[in-house]
Amino acid sequence: MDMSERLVLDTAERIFREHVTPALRERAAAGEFPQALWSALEAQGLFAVTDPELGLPAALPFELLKLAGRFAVPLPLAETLLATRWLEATPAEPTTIGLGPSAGAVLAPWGQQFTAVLRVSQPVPEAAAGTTDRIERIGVTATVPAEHGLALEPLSTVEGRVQDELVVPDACAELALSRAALMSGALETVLELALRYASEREQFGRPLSRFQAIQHQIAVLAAEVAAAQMATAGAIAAFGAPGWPEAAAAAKIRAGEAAGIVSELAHQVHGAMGYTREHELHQFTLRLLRWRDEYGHEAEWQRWLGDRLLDRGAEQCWAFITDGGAAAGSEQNHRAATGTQEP
Amino acid sequence: MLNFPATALPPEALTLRSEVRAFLDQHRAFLERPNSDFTTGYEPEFSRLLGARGWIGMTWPRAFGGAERSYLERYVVTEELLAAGAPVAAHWIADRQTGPLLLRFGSPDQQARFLPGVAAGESYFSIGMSEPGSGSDLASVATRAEQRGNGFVINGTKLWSTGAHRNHYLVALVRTGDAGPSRHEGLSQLIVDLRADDVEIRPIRNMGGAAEFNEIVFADTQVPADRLVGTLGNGWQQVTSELAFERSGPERFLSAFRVLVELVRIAQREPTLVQRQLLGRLAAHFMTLRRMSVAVASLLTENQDVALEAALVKELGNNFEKALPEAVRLAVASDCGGALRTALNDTLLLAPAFTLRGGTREILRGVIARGLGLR
Repeated sequence: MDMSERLVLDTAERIFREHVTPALRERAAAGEFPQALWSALEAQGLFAVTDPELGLPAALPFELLKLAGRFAVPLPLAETLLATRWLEATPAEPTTIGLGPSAGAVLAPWGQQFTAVLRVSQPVPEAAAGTTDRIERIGVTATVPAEHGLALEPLSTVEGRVQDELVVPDACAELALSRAALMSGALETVLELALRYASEREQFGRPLSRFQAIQHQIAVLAAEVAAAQMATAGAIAAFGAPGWPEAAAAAKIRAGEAAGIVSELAHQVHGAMGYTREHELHQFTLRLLRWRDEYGHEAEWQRWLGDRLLDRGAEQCWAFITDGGAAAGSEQNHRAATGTQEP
Repeated sequence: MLNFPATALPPEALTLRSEVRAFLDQHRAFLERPNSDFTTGYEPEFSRLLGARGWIGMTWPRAFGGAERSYLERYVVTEELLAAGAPVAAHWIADRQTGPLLLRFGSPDQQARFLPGVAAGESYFSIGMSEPGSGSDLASVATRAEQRGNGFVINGTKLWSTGAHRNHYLVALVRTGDAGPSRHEGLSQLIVDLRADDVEIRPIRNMGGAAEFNEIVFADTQVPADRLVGTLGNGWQQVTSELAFERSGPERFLSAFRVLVELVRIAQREPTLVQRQLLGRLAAHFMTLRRMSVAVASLLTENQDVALEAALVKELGNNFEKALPEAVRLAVASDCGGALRTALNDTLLLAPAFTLRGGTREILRGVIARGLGLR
């Protein structure tokens, strides 16, 4: 990682540490937009990291999102960062990304804060299709609060007029990877919370961590976190190279699976205390449960990835596992010869 | 906290991988009944071919028949062989852990005597650690070795030694002194000639009917003094370092890979939605486990301690190997036969051992807990 990338991430982490508290998250859940946090991030140029003139790594937004997941930042950072990249410029007006079947019905987190939304029509491509999407840019004319569910942040249904359309290569894969990155960060924090709780909480005269049943549950939890983090890091490292959408699909699948298992085990370890609104555990676990369903759940991406594997055929199974969607042959050998990054 | 660096394979490793794939293409005859479990394909002729290519003992000094290549390069070769179902059982243990053991702790004479044969794919070793009364609690081994004259005399019984009925040597963990307050003192390792008259080998059939592992009885078995590995009483440290190698490889998640291949073959014409989803799920797990295994290999290359990471990969990998046939069987008709049914049955017969061999699930979870600071 080079100096400027390190600087961006350290700056973001400093801001998150200063602003993002359990109380801030609770206020956000009640509908209060974290304006001071938003302004601090904007002032440091963190929304513009995809500006080509800055020469920062293309995958940097995903590293930022891992951090955002670690702090359960109650902002639509993924949408802001990716919208700026897709538009190839910081938009003149506040722009977000939402999912919806038509310009009349787009769901967007914190929708009321934005005057333009980029509409994604389907979270996962159909069979045998690539992940490129035609994205409509919609000028917002109305927003209506939508059902919360697991949201923990206000969700709006946004309506408006189509202004223009962009073609975004691998849009679905980018959105899926954004959720994998957020989950990857949150999973790490949940593991830390479980370790801390098990070492501090005492019953029967000793900390929970001394009981084998607890040790084993946390071991399983840690293994799932490690797998989700590895799948996500691998996809981020592969970003932009041939075969990266397959890596992104694998990351969304693996992180989504881990999200459910880790949430369940973490709540089990935390006992009744962890089940309260007052304890911050739910601020991470409910986000994990929400993010695993956003931009395609595990079964949808499994179906897409399975189709890619079937396309390759039985004799190419292992090549698929090692190289994802990258075609065997000259492309791989060229990159091998020049020592460039391999997925 | 959990150290799994995203690892790009260097160019020389990618080139090597192409070479291994080409080699396997040329030697398809050895892959006739492929099974990706590392214990079930015993083929000395194939092992010698690999040795001739320099693909056994790859990381060892050239003076001992090695190629002085990196752990990452070794990793690439071993995963290609396992994924293809190549018969590697004969030389696998010797290559994986006996060689590293002798390089780290063996005398120059032992290194010169044993390593070249292993690297050539001609000399095969088994492990003599477990006993009828000592499985997970390895420190409790009771097989004794007493110094007598110019050597040792061994009495006791070893259990579960894979390949001992066919291999040349056994590295036996024996008690040579008091266990002490730590319970880990007084243990040593001796290289035993499995073909000696005073070593009794009794094959044990597993539940599938195959006799791959053995009970070994020592009754006043004599072993020369120069077969002591390292120093007297150093046995526990030796087996601990062997275990890291034993637990960290791709064999810990690839045992059921052939089942995936056969499912793709069957599903290709008209895949059901269940099959498509299951294949994607299995692919995502294989891709992830492989990335984690490569990461461990790169940590080994940098001489880092991999006890926690290796245990995590083994925990995930072994449980996945067991879950795979359970999921695949329901994605095809109950009366589906052919190569998929054969692969499924082969895997189910081996499956209980996946989370027992090389450290049980319960022990590994304890290792992970310790690595996380819970114990």
